[in-house]
Parts: sequence; structure tokens; C-alpha cells
Amino acid sequence: MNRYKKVFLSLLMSTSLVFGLTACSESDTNGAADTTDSSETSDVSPYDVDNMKFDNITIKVSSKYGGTGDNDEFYKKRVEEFNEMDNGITVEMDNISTESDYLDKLATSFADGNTPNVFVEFGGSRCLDYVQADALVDMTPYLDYDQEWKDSFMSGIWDATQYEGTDGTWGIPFHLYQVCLFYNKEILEENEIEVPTTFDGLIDACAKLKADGITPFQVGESDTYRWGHLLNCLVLKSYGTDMVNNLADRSVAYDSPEMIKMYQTIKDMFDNGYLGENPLSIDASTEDSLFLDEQAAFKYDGTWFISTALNSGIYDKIGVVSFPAVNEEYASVNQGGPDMIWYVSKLNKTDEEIAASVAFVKYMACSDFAAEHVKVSPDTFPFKDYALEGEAKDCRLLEEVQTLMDQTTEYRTDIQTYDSASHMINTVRNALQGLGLGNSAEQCGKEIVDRIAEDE
Amino acid sequence: MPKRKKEITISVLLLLPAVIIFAMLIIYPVCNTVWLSFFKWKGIAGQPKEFVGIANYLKVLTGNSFWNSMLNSLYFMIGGFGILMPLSFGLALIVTSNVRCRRFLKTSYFMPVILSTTAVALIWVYILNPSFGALNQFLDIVGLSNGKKDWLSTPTLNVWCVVLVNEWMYAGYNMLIFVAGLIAIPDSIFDAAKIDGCGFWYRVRYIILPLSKGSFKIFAVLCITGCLKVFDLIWAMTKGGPNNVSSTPAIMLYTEAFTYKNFGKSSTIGVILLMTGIVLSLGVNRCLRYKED
Repeated sequence: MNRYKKVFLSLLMSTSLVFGLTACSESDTNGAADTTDSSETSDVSPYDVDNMKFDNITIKVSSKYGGTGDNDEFYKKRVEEFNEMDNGITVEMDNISTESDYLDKLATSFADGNTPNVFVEFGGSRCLDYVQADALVDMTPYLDYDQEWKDSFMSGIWDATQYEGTDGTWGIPFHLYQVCLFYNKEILEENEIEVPTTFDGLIDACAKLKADGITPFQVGESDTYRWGHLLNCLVLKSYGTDMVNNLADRSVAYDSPEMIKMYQTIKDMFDNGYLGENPLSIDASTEDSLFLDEQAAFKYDGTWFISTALNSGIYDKIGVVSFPAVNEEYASVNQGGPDMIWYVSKLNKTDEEIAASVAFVKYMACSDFAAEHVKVSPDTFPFKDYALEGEAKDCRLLEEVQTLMDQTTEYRTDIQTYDSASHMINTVRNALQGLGLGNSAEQCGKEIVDRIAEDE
Repeated sequence: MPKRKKEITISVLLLLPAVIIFAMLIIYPVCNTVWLSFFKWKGIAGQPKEFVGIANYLKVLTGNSFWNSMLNSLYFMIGGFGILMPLSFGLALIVTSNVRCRRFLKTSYFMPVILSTTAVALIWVYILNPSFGALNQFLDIVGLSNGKKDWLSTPTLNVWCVVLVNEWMYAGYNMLIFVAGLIAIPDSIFDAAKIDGCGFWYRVRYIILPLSKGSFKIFAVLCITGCLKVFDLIWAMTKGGPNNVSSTPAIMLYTEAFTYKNFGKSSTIGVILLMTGIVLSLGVNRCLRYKED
């Protein structure tokens, strides 16, 4: 009897374990989703998501707005408002504030097929793999169906969401930026330095400041995008936007004399101490703090810095100009454009989930979103008309930045995002860090080219 | 059914749950990783994988970055055997001796182990910060300003900083391995040694060290495998940077998969690490067994 009990128990344990583990595994691994559509769409166009009725659909939305700043709080509030609309859609937020962790989690979700319905990305070649894998929803028919929504966006902002060789608009931008040169008026006045309008003027100003014992820039290159942005500005201001295309199609190599010159400029700035002390150990938020603590005279940064500056004690001392031109011909070309883009995933998603996701995106990427956002945090958005109220009203820096943006004739965001290889942005940024470790400009170029060859 | 056959059946059935768990959570992932290492895959579910044969292995083994990361793992091993082993053994001798405050010392030595890796990393990142870190401030105070460094951004030095933090963190844990070996030595041997007039160093040399061989073997295997797959502390302190100079194979494995989306190449690194770990562990076992004989 005892023996039979043992046998019975063993069998029970084994079978329960097998069933348990099977239940844990993915029910569908080949990407085929249940396309049953329970939304009442029979008399409504499949693209008219505003008039669809949803039957308790829950969608998961991933973003990096997990912090406690004004932008993050506004985002969460906006999502809560969407949930209170009682439209049959419930949004579950998955917010991770550390950018690299957020992007890693996103990559993992694509690998296991359990992607969020909607997610924020920076666009360009970073999302090319997802487009090529047919994992994203083409937003073109939704934009075409709702012309009013489509027309509310500024023209020329769709670059980052479109790819050569694929027809479609694969994301909806909801934030716009330009990299500008912020400066501390008081420090410049005290040291009798004019606000630089050319790159040579900037280098002269850095030399004078350094000689006077003042740190010109304190860059937080521990976050690798900082020198990445500097390289973007230098390339755009030296060679214009053609160079971006030439680098992308490899007609100009990353170890060409033109690019070596750019790396050398960064290296010289680093070696001369113009980029601050120990930039490799300082992160971007510390960089902000040091500039606002008047420990650096200049800071190149995106227009998102306005909201940080607004709450600081030195707001009145901060001025802003376009990043100085290396070549006068390209003075009005700037790093910028849409940098925050909503994407809708269709990997293992039902039609109803996709429609609900688009409805959410429309709520989060529109003029009303921008108008509400600037009330609590002045910033720049890719929409044509929205009222500047609240914090944005009479915000001097925002007005100055908008004037600079109006003067810009061409935008390009991170130059590697136009590349066909999705790893380029990380490859280039990584190699640039080597300049701070004693690598030569030539080594920097070689490192990038070697990695390209390795990947191909 | 004969008695023997029934016993075997019952044994098999009782072992089955563990075997199933082992197969599903260890054997299957390992086999899947080996299989994936022969493919190129961007890491998007449902997308076809392109068979590339041994191309991933050639890329990894002929690339500088892999060998640089292996060199960093080697630094961890050197630190493990050169610093951690004597330190842990010394601490084990202290806490098993008759010294006062043994309990307090035991708790103190073990304290870093119970802290999370991220917390330890954050503490040390702040201590080693070149601008406001305690270490550079201390060097200023004692008049050694020339010795101030950017500890976590200077190549090689940053790896050694992490190695030392690693030894600080795991000394208590490894101490327990040696303590287990030390308390297993019969008191009668020490009593006899005392009667023979053996001093402390003689006891260590001729009694404790030979009888702690098992502990050293366990330490060696754990140290080798641990150093090969070291990830968490170095990720939390330097993320393998700047410019990958402090990267280890495990960090390379992670970045290849999640930053560069080369899941095939990442799997290849995983397989190489696994094989290296197995070969080195078997080597250590064989080496120490041979000496025992």
C-alpha cells in the first residue's frame, strides 16, 4: 500500500509539474495572433478609431516616464485621464526612467514576443529592425483617414518614422527638439567674452575661460549621447545634411579624413580641458546641476533643457543661441527634429488591441497634448498650433528657442539614425568615448569601421 | 513485478520531477543556446533565423573585444586567487580562533554579502567619484593629491577597482567555505600538535592547509566559474565602459544581444563561456585530485 502511495504521489507530482510548466510557456510562439475582433466595427471604418466601441480592452504602454519630474508626472496624469474617459480601453503603464534599462527591456520584449502594445522610441534606424520584421503598425492609413489630425503636425517631421525601401509611416512623433548652445551671461560678461556665433569663436571663448580658471563646458559623457550630440553638431555645421546621407550609404567612410577631423576636434577640446574635468565619470544630470550651479559657462543641449533651467536659481542668467557654425554655409542647419515617437506593435496583437492602441496614440500625440504639456513644463512639440499658457506663457527661453527653431532651414537628428545598420548609434558613441581614454582620432574612426565590417 | 524492478520504477518516478525541472530549465536552454549560436538572429520573435555555420564563432574568437573582455575576467581570477583566497582564509582563521568578539567579527565580515550588488556598487561608485568621492578627498587631506585619479574611467585601473570591490564584497561568503573546512578538522589533531609544541604557523602549514584542501578546491571552482561569468557588479559600476575597456565576456554577451541585437553572436559567447568554465573546472578538479593521490 505504501509503495502504491509512493507511485501515485510520484506520478501526480510529475504530471502536475509538466502541466504547470506547459501552462507557463508561451501559448503562441510563431507570432500568429488571435485576430478575433470584438469591437463593433461593422459600420465603422477600421481606421476610424475615435468612433469605435471597445469592450474592456487593456493595452500595455511602455515609456521612460517613470520619474518624478514635471514631464513624467504630466505623462502619468494624461494617461490617467485617458483611463477615466470610459471608452472601453484601459492603459497599463510600464514606465522605466533609466533610458538604457528601458531600451533593454523593450528589446527583450521583442525577443520573447510579448511586446507592449504601444511604446516610445527615438526613431530612425533604431526601429528599422522592427519595421523589417513587420512588427510595427503602419500609421499611414490612420493619418490619411483623419486629415485634421494629420494636418495638425508640422511638415517635415516624418523623416525619423519613414525608411527607404518600405512604404509607410511607422510611428507618430510627439516631441520636437533642437540642440542649442546655452550660456551663462554673467560669466561671459565678467570675462569680457562675446556670445560666440562661429565655432572658432567658441574655441577662442573656451581658451579664454580656461585661462581665467573657468570651466568652459562640463560635459557628462558617462551618458554616451553627450559627445554623440557634439559630433552630430560638428558634422552638420561643417558639411551640412549631405554628409549624413553620405555616411549612411557609406560613400563617405567613418574613418575618412572629413570624419577624422571631427573626432580630432572633440579630442582637442577634451585634451585642452574645454569639455570639463573627468567628463567620462560625470552623467548628464550632474552636467545639468554643475551648469546650473554656475560651474561651467556653456552647455550644448536639447531644448528639453528649458524646463530644467526654468526651475533653477540662475534662469535669468541663461542665454541661448544656435550651436555655432563651423562652416558659415551651414549655419542654419541644426541637430534636431522629432525625438520622441509613439510606435504601435502588432506582434501577437489582435485587431482590436491595435485599434485601441492607435486611439491611445491619437490622444497622446496631438495639439491638445502639447497645449496641456506646456502649461506645466515649457518644451517644444511637432504640432502647428497650440496655445502657450501656464509655465510656457512669457517663458523667455522658450520664445528664444522657438525663434532659433524658426530660423533653422534643415534638421537632422542623430546622424547614425539614418544609417541602415541599427547598431551604428551605439557603435559611434562607444568609439567617441575612446577619445577620452587616449585613443587617437584615427583609432576612433578605425574602431567604428571595424565594427561595421564585423557586423556585415 | 520483481522487487528490484519495482524499486527502480519507484526511484525513477521519484526522480522524475527533478529531472524534468533540470531538463526544462537547464538542458533545454543550453541546447537552445548552442543551436542559436549557429544562426544570425535580430531577436524578434517569429522572425526567421539565418544559418551562418561557425561564422559567429570565428567572429568572436578573432575579434579583439572578446579577448579584451577575457583579459578582464583573468584580472578577476588573479584577484580571486591572489587576494580573495588568502583574505577569506585569513578571516576564517580569525573567526574560528579563540579571539574575543568572534560573533561581532563574523557578522562584520559577512555584512557586505547581505547587501545587494547594486547597493554595494552605488556605495563604491560614490566613494570612487573623481570630483566628490571620499577616496580622492582623503588623498587630498593626507597630502597625496598627486595620487588622485578618475578611478572608474581609467583603463585597467577601473577593472582593478571593481576587482577589489568584488573581493571586499565576497570575502565574507568565501570565509564561510573555509570555516566549514576548518571546523571539520578534529580537535584531537590540534591537541596532539599542541602537546608536540607546534606553534600557530606550524599548525597552519602542516595541519590546517593540508586538511582544508577540499575547501580550496570548492573555492577554486567557484572562483573560476564566477570570474568567467562576472556581470552584476561591473555592470552596476561601469557598465563595461568607458569604450568597453572594463567589459567582461558576460557583459559582452549582454550588449551583443540587447544593444546590438546580435542574438546569435551573443549565444556564441555564452557557449564559449560555458565550455571554458567546464574545461577549467575539470582541470582544477583533476589537478587537486592528483595532488591528493
